[in-house]
Amino acid sequence: MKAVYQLTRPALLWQLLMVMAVLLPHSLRLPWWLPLMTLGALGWRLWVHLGRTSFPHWSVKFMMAVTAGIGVIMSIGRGNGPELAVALLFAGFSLKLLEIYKRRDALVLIYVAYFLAATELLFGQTLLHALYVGLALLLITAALNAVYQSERHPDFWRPLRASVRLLLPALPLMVVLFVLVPRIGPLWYAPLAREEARTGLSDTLSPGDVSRLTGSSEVAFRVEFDRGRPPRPAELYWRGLTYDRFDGRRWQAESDRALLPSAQQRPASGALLRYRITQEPSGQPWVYGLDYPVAAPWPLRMQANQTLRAPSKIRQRVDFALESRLSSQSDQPLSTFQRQRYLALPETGNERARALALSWRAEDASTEGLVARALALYGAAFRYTLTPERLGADSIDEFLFDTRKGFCGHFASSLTFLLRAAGVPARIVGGYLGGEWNPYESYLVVRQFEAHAWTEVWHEGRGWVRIDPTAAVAPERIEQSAEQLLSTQPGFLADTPLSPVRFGHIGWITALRMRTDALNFVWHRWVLSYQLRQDTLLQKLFGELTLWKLALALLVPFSLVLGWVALGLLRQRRPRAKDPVDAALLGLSARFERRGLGRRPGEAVGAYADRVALARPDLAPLIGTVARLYEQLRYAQVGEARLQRAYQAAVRACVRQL
Amino acid sequence: MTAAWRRRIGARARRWALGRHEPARTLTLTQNRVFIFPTRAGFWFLFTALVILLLGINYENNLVYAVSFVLLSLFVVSILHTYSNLAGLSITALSARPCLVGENAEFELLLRAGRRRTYEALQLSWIEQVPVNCDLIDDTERRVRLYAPATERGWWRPGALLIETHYPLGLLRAWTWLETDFRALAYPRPLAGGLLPPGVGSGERGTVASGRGSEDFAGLETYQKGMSPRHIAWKQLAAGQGLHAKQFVDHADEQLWLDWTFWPELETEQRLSRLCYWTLRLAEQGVEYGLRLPGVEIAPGSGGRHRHQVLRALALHGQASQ
Repeated sequence: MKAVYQLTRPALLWQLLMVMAVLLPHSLRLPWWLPLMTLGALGWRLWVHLGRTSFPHWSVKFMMAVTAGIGVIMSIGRGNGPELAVALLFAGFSLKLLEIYKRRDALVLIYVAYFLAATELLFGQTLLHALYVGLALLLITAALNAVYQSERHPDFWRPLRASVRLLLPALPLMVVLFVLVPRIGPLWYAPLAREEARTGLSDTLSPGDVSRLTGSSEVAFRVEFDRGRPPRPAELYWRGLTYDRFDGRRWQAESDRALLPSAQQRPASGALLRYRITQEPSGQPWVYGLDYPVAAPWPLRMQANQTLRAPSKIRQRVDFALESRLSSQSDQPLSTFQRQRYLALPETGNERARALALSWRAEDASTEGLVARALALYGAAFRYTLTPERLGADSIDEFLFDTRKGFCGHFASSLTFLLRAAGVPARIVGGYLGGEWNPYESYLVVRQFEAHAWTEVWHEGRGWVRIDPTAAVAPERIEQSAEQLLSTQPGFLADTPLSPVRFGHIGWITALRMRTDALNFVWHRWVLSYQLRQDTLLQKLFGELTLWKLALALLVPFSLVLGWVALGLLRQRRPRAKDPVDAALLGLSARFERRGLGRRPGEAVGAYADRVALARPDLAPLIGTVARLYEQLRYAQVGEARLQRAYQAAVRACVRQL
Repeated sequence: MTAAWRRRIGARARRWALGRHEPARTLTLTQNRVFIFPTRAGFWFLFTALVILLLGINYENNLVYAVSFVLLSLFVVSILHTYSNLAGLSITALSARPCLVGENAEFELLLRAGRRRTYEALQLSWIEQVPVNCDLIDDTERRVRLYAPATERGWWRPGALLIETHYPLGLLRAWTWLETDFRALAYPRPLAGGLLPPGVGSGERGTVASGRGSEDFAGLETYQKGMSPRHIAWKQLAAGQGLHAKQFVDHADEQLWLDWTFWPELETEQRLSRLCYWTLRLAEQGVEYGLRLPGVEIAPGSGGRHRHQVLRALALHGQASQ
């Protein structure tokens, strides 16, 4: 025969707590009305619990479910698979709250809660996320335990303790599984379609755009070098994309199709540099490599402009192993098509700049000469600032002849314009310059405020050559870290006034910041992208990996942990009574046990005393007193303290005489 | 269909498990007595872990992998916890209270915490009966009363005792079947009706000088003309059982004999049931009564002990009494 279990009060409370813990992080991402509905359902369920109202009729629940389903689909749209699935689960989960009454209902809710807690990690994978989900698992497990705890002794805190005792040994087992279980690729294509405005370079550049990024200290990417230390700061030009087309106001990166892979420009000289880049989600497909990447590892593609591109926009942290050479050499001529592209300018506009370029060309037609003149101009009369004045329609002219204050974007775009106007193929390169060396884990952090733009010029017989006009104005931008230079500028880190990067002059804050970042990086390296390192690690641990070694590696830690748990659970523990009167009697009985005179199960104290007295007449008066006092204590209302003392004394005397 | 199969397999497993151990008065649960297997909820839990694993595989999300592994490990750890929630527990059969066939016999058990101090959410039941929940949380021993309907007269054994637990997470069920040496005396099922033949009092000791009195009700007899109308049994008349007169005996001659030969038209079991009915009836009235069965004679008397003696003789009639 089956008994029907209703939930106890603690079980219900744990359910509600668990629901809140699981839904809280999701609720920030979902349509605003969904968490409100959940709160409503929670309130209703509590109200039912307090006996103020009853469970809703099934038709009401049905209507609510249909409405919520349609609402979710309408407000999220069917394109976003995981978002939609999570939102639908969320809605169903909230409505299920109105049904929990019996054990089975609670189990459905709990199992879905485990799943929802896991889906949280699809949206964020920081250490903080992991800790939060760990906490949620603890609460869900407590809720599960509360469902099964004794109905006769319901208790609110006991489930939490049980949950801790269960999860603590589960953690080492989890780690063993995590290390050993082989990772396989996705079984079917499941995109995490989340369009999110990310900080980072965009595919258009208007002078002054880059300064927007100096407001942010967010990490763009991190780099580990195979041979430890990175190259000199002045060589850390991270190329991401080139801006090739100019419409008079802004520069535009070429579309994918225009940049078909070409075998033309291969980096030909310079030391080979191997490094691994870990890029933060940027919402863009560009991968930043030191100039110039040698080859594109799968799944990246090498573009004709020698930049690397991911197959889709980068929405999760990704890892790539890259190789670069620090100088480029190419004796291939530029194709007509490319020459046209890198010389193209709007028909009209910026006439003064065009005239200047033509006058320079008339004096000295060589590329070197033109570049030298331009740089000399910048060095003589321009100032570097993060807060330049706004420019009008002929932005290049205004910058070159009027304001003469600007940021790397201004310099790069005006130089490129001048060179093209003078008939020299040129392009703007967008990327980052520099990076901060983290000594704790030996890697380089490149932050958003290190975004930079510079120019590349085509030299016949040499290929593309990097010219950084900003260096002519503010050479310290190239030699120092951006942080050192920029921290004197008013616009620097304007968006994050409390960023620890601001307090670089305080030693311990910098150390703390670097340690935190190192922790984050280790987290990424060893946990989030573990599949990339699993083979190497297992090889290092076990050498040649055989099946029996793997089985052994699984079994040995498992049996150790489980043995330890079993020991804790089954260890002989003396029965301990809470009541001192019972405790004394238990102690007495334990002493007598050795002479075969222990108290039998269920034996009344009086009967026990009689039996002892019969076997040991010498003890008869003492044990009699014990029994009499015991009974008095059990039924007495007054004079307890005095009785207690007498009783304990009698027990002691009894033991002594024995 | 599946339910029937499951029941058959269950019965089989139970017989096998019970065959491995002798019945005893006190039993301690050790590992060769405790069985453990995932519950349906446990399989759903594993399914949930699998779905989470698929999520992790598909999104190449190592943290989701980790969640799945936590659930798997939790399952493994809870095997030990569930087992230890039974292991070391000792059960003593204390007493059994007699009952009538068809009623619930009461059995008292003593649970004693052995090695561990706490046992939570244990369920005890006789096979196919409603389970009783109990815990050993704050105390080391606890008495538990279990009830089971007696189906046969005589020494009645309730069958195997099932002790099970799903604690702490309901993922696994640990259980054991115990053949206790428990038995309860089941008195015959009372069969109402019949009349005590007039003048059943024994003349020997002159306790019932006359079968007729006016003080205590002793039964019914067919109404005959000339009987006092005050003695008409109206209730029986209203029930359509014909006209009867209530028969009374005087206090002076209260001793009655219940005799095996009173209702020759009845089968053995029915006869015992009828005797049981009258025993209960007479005991209620405080009349002194004796019992004569083939080979058994119990002198008239009254009181609880006497009543039990008489009923016991009825219960064990024709059985080897132990």
